[in-house]
Amino acid sequence: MPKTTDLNVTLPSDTEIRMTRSFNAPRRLVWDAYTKPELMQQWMTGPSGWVLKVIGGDVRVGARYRLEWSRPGDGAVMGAGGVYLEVREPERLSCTERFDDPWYPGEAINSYDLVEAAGRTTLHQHFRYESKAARDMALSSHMDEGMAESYRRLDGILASILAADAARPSA
Amino acid sequence: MNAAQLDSTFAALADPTRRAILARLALGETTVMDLARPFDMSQPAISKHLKVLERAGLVSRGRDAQRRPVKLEAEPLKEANGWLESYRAFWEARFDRLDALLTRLQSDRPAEPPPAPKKSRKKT
Repeated sequence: MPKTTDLNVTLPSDTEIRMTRSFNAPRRLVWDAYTKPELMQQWMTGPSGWVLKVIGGDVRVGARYRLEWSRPGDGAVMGAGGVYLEVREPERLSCTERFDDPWYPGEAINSYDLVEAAGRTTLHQHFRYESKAARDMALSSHMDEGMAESYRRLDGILASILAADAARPSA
Repeated sequence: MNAAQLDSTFAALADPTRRAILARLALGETTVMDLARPFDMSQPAISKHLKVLERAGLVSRGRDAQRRPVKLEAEPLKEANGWLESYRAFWEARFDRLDALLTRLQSDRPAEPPPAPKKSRKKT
């Protein structure tokens, strides 16, 4: 199967994060992966050593969902949840998101648009925060987890600028 | 890097001309005149972009009063890249797991049988 397209991350304004990614699957399956607890548990996992439990499955406007990452052994738990705001199966899902122990202030509004063409699905994932400070905290929150990965994945214009700069003998 | 600094770095990078200027400067320092040449832009227009880049700490200007060569400052770029890149890497890892899940779901539960070929096979 061909590799799916790379993830594109943009910051359309001070309070938003937008991501686009394509998958080799019809959107009904992507929808299921985003809404069925037994499927969500398989990929929305946290750092290694943590176990995710999803409470939900009742996907309609006003219904609640909840995600709980726990670390067996020391009883550490991180929880997040919210309410569905918009449910148009299988093309658009929107919900609030708030962490129990908030690493960003306030509530985020997350929305997911699924566009299918020729059996492939393009996902547009959009997060809106209450303030720029909250957005920036969300952005920086994955610094540690993402770091190891990120060194392998440097690409695009920034990486090439840095590479060219590094290769240049310093004056 | 503080949030305000990071913000000005992202704002400076939002413009394609400014990214092109940085890519050019990665090859070595140069004068504003030389910098303007490939861009089909006036020197004042380029100078305006350079001011944005300078405020963001992405370029610096030499002391030489006449040439004032422009030089790339890579450090803020590295930090901004690290922040957004880490976030991207976190989600890429997640989406890779989603990819694997979607592949499993499709092999467990084959979709509709492939459509029958339109032309009937040659009879033997």
